[in-house]
Amino acid sequence: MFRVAKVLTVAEGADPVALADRLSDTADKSRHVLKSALDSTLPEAAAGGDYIWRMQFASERDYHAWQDDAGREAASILNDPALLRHVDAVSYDEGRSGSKRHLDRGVYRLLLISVGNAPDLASIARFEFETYEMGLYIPGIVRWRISQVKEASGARPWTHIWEQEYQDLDGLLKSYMLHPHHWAWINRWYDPECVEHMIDSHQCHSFCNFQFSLMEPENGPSGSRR
Amino acid sequence: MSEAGRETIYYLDHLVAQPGCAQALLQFYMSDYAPQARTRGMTLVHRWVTPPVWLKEQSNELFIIWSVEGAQAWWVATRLRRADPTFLGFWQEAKPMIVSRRRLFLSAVDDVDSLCDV
Repeated sequence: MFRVAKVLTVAEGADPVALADRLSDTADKSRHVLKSALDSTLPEAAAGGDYIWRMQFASERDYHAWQDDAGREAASILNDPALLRHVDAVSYDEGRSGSKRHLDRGVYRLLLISVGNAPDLASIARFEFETYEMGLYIPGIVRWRISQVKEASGARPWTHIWEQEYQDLDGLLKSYMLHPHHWAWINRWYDPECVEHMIDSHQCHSFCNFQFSLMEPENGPSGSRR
Repeated sequence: MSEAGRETIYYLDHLVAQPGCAQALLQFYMSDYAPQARTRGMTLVHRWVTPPVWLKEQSNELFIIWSVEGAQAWWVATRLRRADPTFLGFWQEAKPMIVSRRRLFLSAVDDVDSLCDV
């Protein structure tokens, strides 16, 4: 599967509902898009944009076919400063993922990061593995995936997307944040005071409720929902 | 064993000083870094050195240990540290006196189960 994720910040004065409808339509009317979900971010996601738009394609070729078709209309909307103040976006092949159980609905969270200061490829591989392991150790994470980014735009040249699904917001704000695997272990890649530090301190972190999962391709119906 | 949510979390700065530099490094750490760390809610717990003699031709190793009470307090201190680039200025200026260093986060082994039960 090939995937796209965009965090959208709506411009002042723009109609967010009409904007979301127009963007969703560009996925709905394309046979190249397997699934699409455009969800409002939760108020707790401070500085996390207004919407998260995720799309799933059978292959990167289908993604490019969408770009050359209905995606042109989406691009014109996304590039219009009267409609959107800021967009952080990535496209990627699925990286390593895990799942503990089925979730019909819950909270989806993404983190876009830029590994700008890695000493070598082995450090990146170790970071990716340890990030994947978070899902194994932290009880609140139900599904998770760490992927390398193919194309990025926005505030940084994003290199990775770290996605998780939780049953509820407590899973993210309590279990994930307060577990020692996070603050005593993974943190060192992010902490400028640790010698292992290699992640740019500006990150794109956002989360939203979801009504059907895009983390596991076998779950949920095909097509677009918002 | 600590009360859940109030477990003592330790920061260990393990510094291998350049030969003959350990005392100066410690002094700089205490005058430049320590006051900033205290304002972020970190409590200085220990300052250890091995071997316990100031070596002139070889490296001493320093173990400086801080603590906060609970993971929430750890995040408060971390956010304040990251918002303040003067912390990084210390490490940059101290670099010539350091062979290598590592920062570790620790707890009492009796607190592991409680810390992971979130």
